[in-house]
Amino acid sequence: MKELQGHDVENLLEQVDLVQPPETLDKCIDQLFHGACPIRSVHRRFGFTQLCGAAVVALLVGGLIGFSAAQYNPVMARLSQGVDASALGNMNAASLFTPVVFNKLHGHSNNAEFADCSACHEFANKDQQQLEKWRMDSFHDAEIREQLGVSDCRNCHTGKGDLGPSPHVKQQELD
Amino acid sequence: MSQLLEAVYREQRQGLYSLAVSVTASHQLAEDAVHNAFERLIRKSLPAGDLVPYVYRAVRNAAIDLCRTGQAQNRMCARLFEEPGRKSDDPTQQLMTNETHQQLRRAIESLSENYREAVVLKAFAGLTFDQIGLVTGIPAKTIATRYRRAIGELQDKLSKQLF
Repeated sequence: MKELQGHDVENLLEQVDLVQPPETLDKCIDQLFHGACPIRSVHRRFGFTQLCGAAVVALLVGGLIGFSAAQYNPVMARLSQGVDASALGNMNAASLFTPVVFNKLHGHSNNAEFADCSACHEFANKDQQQLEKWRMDSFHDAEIREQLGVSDCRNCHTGKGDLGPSPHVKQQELD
Repeated sequence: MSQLLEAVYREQRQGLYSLAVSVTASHQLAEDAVHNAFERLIRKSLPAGDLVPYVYRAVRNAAIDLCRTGQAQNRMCARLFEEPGRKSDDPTQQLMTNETHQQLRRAIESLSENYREAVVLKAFAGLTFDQIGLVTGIPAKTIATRYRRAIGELQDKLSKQLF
């Protein structure tokens, strides 16, 4: 048999059947071009049924963890008496809000700045078991929504994703 | 513009996927790389001129990004081409027995990354050296040299193994 030449190798390479991209990729690329949500990987790897199953399991586990945390809440409250006395002491359902959650929600470790929840929040009912909504906009450090009648951030802010600067509201109005 | 992009995908899907497999050594990551690349491309304004190398470059970059996150494997373990299933009277095709196929696969896997990329883009994807130069950011002459050396290496390896 004759010796293998360079062009023989090239012929071999040209004749191999390349691996076909999976159909899921074709479908997802197709969806990209026609405006569907590009969360291909999640759908591909888990499938809709598995995804729903995972969501149910996550809900159950989350509920279990939440229930467990509620059992330990008195302990946590005792460990943070200083915070409870100031920040949460005026709330009837203060035990629902542990200091850790409190700080995480506000992204802040200075509890004194958030001494009174009712300064910023309105409550749904007398039991005050749930924070109803923002009354004060902490980012603007003023009751900006009430003052300016702003109900929709997009009335003032521009930009996609991140809120851009306001083209209409002057900074001093927010100070 | 997106129609052009879609047309490029339809024409080059196997080559794009092969390139991604070659870089990531994983079919799953290759899939992610191609998808990520097109997701980015759709949001960009595309350049005038030949889109093919531009798209290949985007897929290559997306694959390299995935490798940098540490998800890729060190050794090629994902198949670049299908197992041969048909027989032919053509003597060259007769060489494509299962054994030959395995030898060829192993020989390609043993190539250095640069050489393997040149082979994948030239022989599998069918790009010209100029286009590969645009994809990789390396002069076309260098790519041509790498390709010829890669073919030489494959020739040596296959000659030793097959004959």
